[in-house]
Amino acid sequence: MRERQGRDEPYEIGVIGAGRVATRYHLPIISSRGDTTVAFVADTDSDRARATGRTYDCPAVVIEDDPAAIPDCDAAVLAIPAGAREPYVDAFARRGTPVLVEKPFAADLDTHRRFLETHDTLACNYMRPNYSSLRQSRGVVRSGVFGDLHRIELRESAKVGAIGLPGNHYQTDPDAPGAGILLERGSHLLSQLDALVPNDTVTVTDGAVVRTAGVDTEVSASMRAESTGVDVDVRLSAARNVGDELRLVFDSATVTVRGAASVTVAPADGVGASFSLAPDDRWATTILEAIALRWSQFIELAFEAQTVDTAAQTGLAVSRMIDDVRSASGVEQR
Amino acid sequence: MKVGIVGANGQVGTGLSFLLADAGVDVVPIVRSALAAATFDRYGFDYRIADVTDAEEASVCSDLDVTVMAAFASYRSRDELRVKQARRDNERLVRNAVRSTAPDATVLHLSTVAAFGDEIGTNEWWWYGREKRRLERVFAAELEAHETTGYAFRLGHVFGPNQAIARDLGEELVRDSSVRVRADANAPSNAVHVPTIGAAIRQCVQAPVDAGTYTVVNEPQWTWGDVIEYYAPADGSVSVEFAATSDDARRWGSALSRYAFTVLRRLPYGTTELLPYVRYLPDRVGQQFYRNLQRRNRVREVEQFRRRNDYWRREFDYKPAPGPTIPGVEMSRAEIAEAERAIESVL
Repeated sequence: MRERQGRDEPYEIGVIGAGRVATRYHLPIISSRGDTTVAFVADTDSDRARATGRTYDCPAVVIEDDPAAIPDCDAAVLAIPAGAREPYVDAFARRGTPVLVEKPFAADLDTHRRFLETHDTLACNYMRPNYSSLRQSRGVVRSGVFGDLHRIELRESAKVGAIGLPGNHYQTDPDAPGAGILLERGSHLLSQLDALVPNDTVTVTDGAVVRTAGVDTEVSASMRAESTGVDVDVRLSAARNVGDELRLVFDSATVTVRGAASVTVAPADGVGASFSLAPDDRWATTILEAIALRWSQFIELAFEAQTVDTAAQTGLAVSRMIDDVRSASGVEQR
Repeated sequence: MKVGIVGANGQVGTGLSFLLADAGVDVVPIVRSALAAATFDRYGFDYRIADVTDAEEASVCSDLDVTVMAAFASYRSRDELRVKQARRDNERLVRNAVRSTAPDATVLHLSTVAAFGDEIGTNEWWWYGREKRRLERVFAAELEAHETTGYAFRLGHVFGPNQAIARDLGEELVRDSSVRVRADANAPSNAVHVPTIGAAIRQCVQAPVDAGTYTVVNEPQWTWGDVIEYYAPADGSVSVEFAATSDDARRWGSALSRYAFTVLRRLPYGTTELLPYVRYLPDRVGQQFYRNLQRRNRVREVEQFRRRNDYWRREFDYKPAPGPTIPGVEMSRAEIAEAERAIESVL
C-alpha cells in the first residue's frame, strides 16, 4: 500500500475503468468527499482515460497487459467488466490495497471464492441495501408489526426498448462472462433479498433461465429462506414488463417497495386504504446517494475496521444464489 | 409481405412490430444484439441480429418487401456526447437501408415533425430536428440514386404503451391528483399513436401512395384535451385544469418599491443586511417597502405551491404540423384503443 504522509491526508483512490459507472458515480463521489482524492484513473481506452483524467484533474493511466504497472494508491475501485477483474484483484492483494469491486462481484461462485482467498479487504458495490425503502422494509420485517413474513416477491424489468448498446458490449456479448440479465440485474435484486433476510440461508428450489442467442434475457426462480421459512419468488425479464418492485407479504399487510424511496403498506386482504411511508433521510433515495453511502462504509472498513467480513461485504450469498439458479435451470456458466 | 424494422427494439419499433404482426404482417425485427432481441425472441418473431451501420450486415434487408428505418443514433447516449459518431451512424443507417433493400421493395424512413422547425414553433437550431432534416435529404438522395420507392414519415409525438411521453403523462395523471396542464385544451396536439403509424405504412405499401415526405399524426387530429382525457383515469379522480397562459406577474405596489426590488435583486447583499438602513427613509415609505416585500414573498409562496401541480412539455406549445398527410389513415379513438390493447398486454 502507498505510504501516507499523515493521518489527515486524504486517501488516494485509484479508479480502474473510466466507463459510465465510474464517471457517473465513483469519480464524483471520491472527488467530493473531504477524505478521499482521485489518485489516477485507468482504462484500456486511452482517449477515455485521458479525457476523464482531464475532467477530474488527475493522472490518466492507459492499461496495457500488466495490471501490476498500475500506480500505488491507498484503495482502489474496480469498475471494469467482471471477466477482466482477476489480474487486478491479484495485483492489489499483493500490495495489500483495499478494493471496492463493482457489482456483480464475480461472474460465478468459484471465482468469488477465489477472490476471497486471495485478498482479505474486499467489498462489493451492492448499493441497494442503502436505499431508504429497503432499510424501512428491513425495519418492518424485524419489528414484526405486521405479523410473520410469509413471502417475498422480487420483480425487475430490464428496459424493453432501445438499450443503446452494441452487440459487442460486455452486457450483450454472449461470449462475455458478465453478459445477460441474471448477473447484471439479478445480482442487484438478490442483494436486496440478502439484505432483507440476512444471516439466513436461501435455497433455490426451482429456476428457469431463458437465453436469446446465448444471452440471459429472462429469469424466474423459487427460493426458500431456511431459518424463517419465507418463500421467495423472483422474476426478471428483458423481454417484457414483469414489474419493478419488491413485495413482502405478512400476516396482516403487504408492503410494496419501488425504487429507492417508495414503500407502500396495504392490508393483506386488499380491503381498505393503503398508505405510504415518507423516505428516511438517513438513507438513500437515489442511486448516487446509495453509492455515496457505500463509499463511506467502504472507507470505514478499509481503514478503520479491525476485521472485515469479506463474505458479507462482497455478497457471497448473492453469488451462491446466482449459481444455484443456473444449476436449477440447467444453464451453464460461460 | 415481409416487413423488416431496423431498430425494432426502439419505442416506436417495438409497438409497430407487435401491431403489424397482430394484423397478420410477416414482421422481421432487426436489432443489434441478443439483449435487444429478447422481446422478439419471447414472442416468436423471426428476428435478425445485425448492425445496419455495417454495409455487409445490412444485407439482412435484402429479402424484405418493406424496410422500415426506425433506428436513430442520439447525439447523447449513456452519459457520452458523441455527435460525430452519431451523425456517421445515422447516415450509414439510412444509406445502407436503401442500398441493401431490393430494388422493387419499399423503404420507409421514420422522421419527425420536429424537422419542420420554425413552421411548428420548434427551435430551428434544435439538434434533433436538424439531424432529422439532414437524414431526410440523405434518404432522398439515396432513393434517387438507387431508383427505389421510399417514404419519409414526419411522425408527430408518439403516444401509446412503451412510449416515454405517454409514461410521463401517466405519472402526472395519477389517481386522486390535481394537475394544471399548461396547454390549450383545444389546440391540435400533433399526437400520433402507433396504430396510426401502422395504418400509414399499410396505405403506402398497399394503396399505393405517391412517394414523398408525409406528416403522420392521428387523423382527425387530437387536441391536447383529447390526449389528456384519453390518459386520465376513467374514474374521474384526477382534477385537470388547462392553463395555457402564464400567471400574472407579481405586482410590486408603488413604483418606488418596484424600483427598490429591482435594484435589491441585483445587489450582492440580502434584504436582511439592508433592512436596518430603512430607518433613513420616511416611515411611510419604509412601511410600504416592507408590506410589498411581505406580499411578494407570500405571492411567490402561493405561486410555487400552485406550480407544484403544473405540467408543461415543449410539445404543448407547438403549432399544428402541416401536411401533406397520407390519405386513408383515419382511426377513431376506440379503434386506436382497441389496437393498443395488443401491445399493452405484452409491454
